[in-house]
Amino acid sequence: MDADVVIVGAGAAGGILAYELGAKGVPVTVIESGPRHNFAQRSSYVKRYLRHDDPWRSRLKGQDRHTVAGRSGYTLEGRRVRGLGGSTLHWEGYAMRFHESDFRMRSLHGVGDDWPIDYADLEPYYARAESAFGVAGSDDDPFASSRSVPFPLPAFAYSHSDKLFAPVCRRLGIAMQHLPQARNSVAYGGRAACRGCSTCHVCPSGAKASIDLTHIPFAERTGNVRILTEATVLRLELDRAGRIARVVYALPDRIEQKMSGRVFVLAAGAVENARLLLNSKSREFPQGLANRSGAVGKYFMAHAGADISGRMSEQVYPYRIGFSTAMSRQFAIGSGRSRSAAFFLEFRNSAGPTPEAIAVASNLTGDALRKHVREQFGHWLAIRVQSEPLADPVNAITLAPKLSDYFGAPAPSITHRIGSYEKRGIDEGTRVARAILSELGAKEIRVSGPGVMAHQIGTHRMGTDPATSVVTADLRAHDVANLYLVGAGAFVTASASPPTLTIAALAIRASEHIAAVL
Amino acid sequence: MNRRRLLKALASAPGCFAGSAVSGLPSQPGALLGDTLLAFAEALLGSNAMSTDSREVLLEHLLLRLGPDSPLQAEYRACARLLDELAGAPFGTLSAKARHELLRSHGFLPRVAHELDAHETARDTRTFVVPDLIAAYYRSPPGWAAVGYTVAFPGHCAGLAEYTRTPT
Repeated sequence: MDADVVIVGAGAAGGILAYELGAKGVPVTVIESGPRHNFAQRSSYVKRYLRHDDPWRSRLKGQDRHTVAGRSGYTLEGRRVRGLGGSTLHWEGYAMRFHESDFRMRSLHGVGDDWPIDYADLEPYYARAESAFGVAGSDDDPFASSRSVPFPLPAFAYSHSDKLFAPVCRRLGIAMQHLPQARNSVAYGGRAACRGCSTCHVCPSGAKASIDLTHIPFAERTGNVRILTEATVLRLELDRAGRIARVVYALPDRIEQKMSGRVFVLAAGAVENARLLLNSKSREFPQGLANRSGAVGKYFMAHAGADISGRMSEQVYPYRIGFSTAMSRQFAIGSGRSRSAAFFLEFRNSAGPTPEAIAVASNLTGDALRKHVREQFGHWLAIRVQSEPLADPVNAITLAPKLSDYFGAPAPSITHRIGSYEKRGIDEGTRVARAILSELGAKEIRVSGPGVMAHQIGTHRMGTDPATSVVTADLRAHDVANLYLVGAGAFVTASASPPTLTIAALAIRASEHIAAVL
Repeated sequence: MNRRRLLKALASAPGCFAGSAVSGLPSQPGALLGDTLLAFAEALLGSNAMSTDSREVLLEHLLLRLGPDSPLQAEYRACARLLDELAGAPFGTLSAKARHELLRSHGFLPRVAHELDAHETARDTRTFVVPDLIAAYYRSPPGWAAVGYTVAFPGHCAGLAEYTRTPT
């Protein structure tokens, strides 16, 4: 036996699980397909990011090949990261809890499905996840579910443009709140306070929580966690008893190697988890591993939304901080969800074209160009509407019949459309955002969307019925006793809020279950 | 001398590419091409691009674009060769007025694209090199300074007070 627990993927779910199990004395091996990104190289990563060269892009040619079959055109390009830390390396750092109603959509609103756990089950784990990340927030959100502990860090102050929005929102009866951030408003957890560098997709100070900083070093320090990087798992193999016996993986040299274990955890994200299961067909599981329900890969969800921008006559000074500091969750809960999607509003601190974009679009040069850029820049305010999707079996991850990746494994194919339920929510959000911008005196209002924004959710949903779901409430596969599937793939609904804090809370909860059954 | 200080020193010297024998910079004839391209960038960007800070930004960008991994290396090199050929001398030795006139009359500038589309290199320069140079400048600290941002902007860490008020 090579390890007690083999975890595939070192992102939000896998990295947290590795730490939690390692701290409990459980020997763990983590197999991560991407590299260990050296923090000392962050300044060179920032330079690449500023010139639009994604520093997190996979280094193996063809590793992220995939096909896109759905109408929304959802692509993985720039939407996930391989490496220690996974997508938390580039995430925005927005760390909201789901609302209690998000777990009971069928019971409360007659759409979607209920989770087999509820908010109260997850609340203590949310608190632990917030503590581990160092979430900065305020108790000013009347639309949030109850908390057992306050936010560990004080909220970030409202921006200049938030202060322009605030009185108008008050007049219109729209409540604004501080947006919770997994980002240090003050020094915390051995990491510095945010320095306001405005390149949050590559945080040069380490103030933004990412698993490579918040969990991996502590996991390794337990002495129980071994990490293999640039090792890509290709499939899982069963023993005669129908349990997982080993994973088959390869380094960039493409030579296959095997690792055995007692318990296996897939934590590679909703797309790769589903692809790995579908690529691990056997006589016992001809539709893919742990897929007797036929639900593996199905119910794929992504957040969609729209950006609504208004041009002001005066300067509003955008682009001076890289993240948004204000939101409204007034529309993220409520009775309208039986008919149209809930949404939350994000008041953007980066809005309108940058000097670079204005200059390149202008066809001017020299001093005339300079004058034009100065005149055009800084007049736009923007509100982002992000809506909740409904689980739709048509939206799915399948295997591309004719496309393979760097290792010769079938690539994923993504089928995704934005449903009418979401579109109605986005339309309503757009109407609200327009009203705010009009009241502010915007001279011109532009709408970009509806379109897909981010996140990969669903694909191995949890439930109590093995006929319609893939994992239990403890994230164990219904069909395979020693296989766990963690991450946003296990979500039953997606909320309007970003998924990472819920991924973290579920991972901590699953670690207790795994440690108990070992 | 670290790279930052090297760039700063070079940016304040005329003929900086050709005059250097420092590892990491393009060797001859690349150095001459570099000087020509720097003069070209300055002609495109106007009088403010002549400051040391601006030259440093442009130098760093040109080093990147003339490097072996650059996707636009061929276009940049062809642009420089044509400029020198049309000038009958290193382009950088022309007066500012003569540089501008050459660029205008041979169709390098976006505004006069319709006047002369004959030369493929000039067309490639307008299509690839000109926007790339302009973009590099306007996303840099001197580019943000052009809109009045000298404290807080992407890539420049300004702490947590500046974004809450009008720029200081």
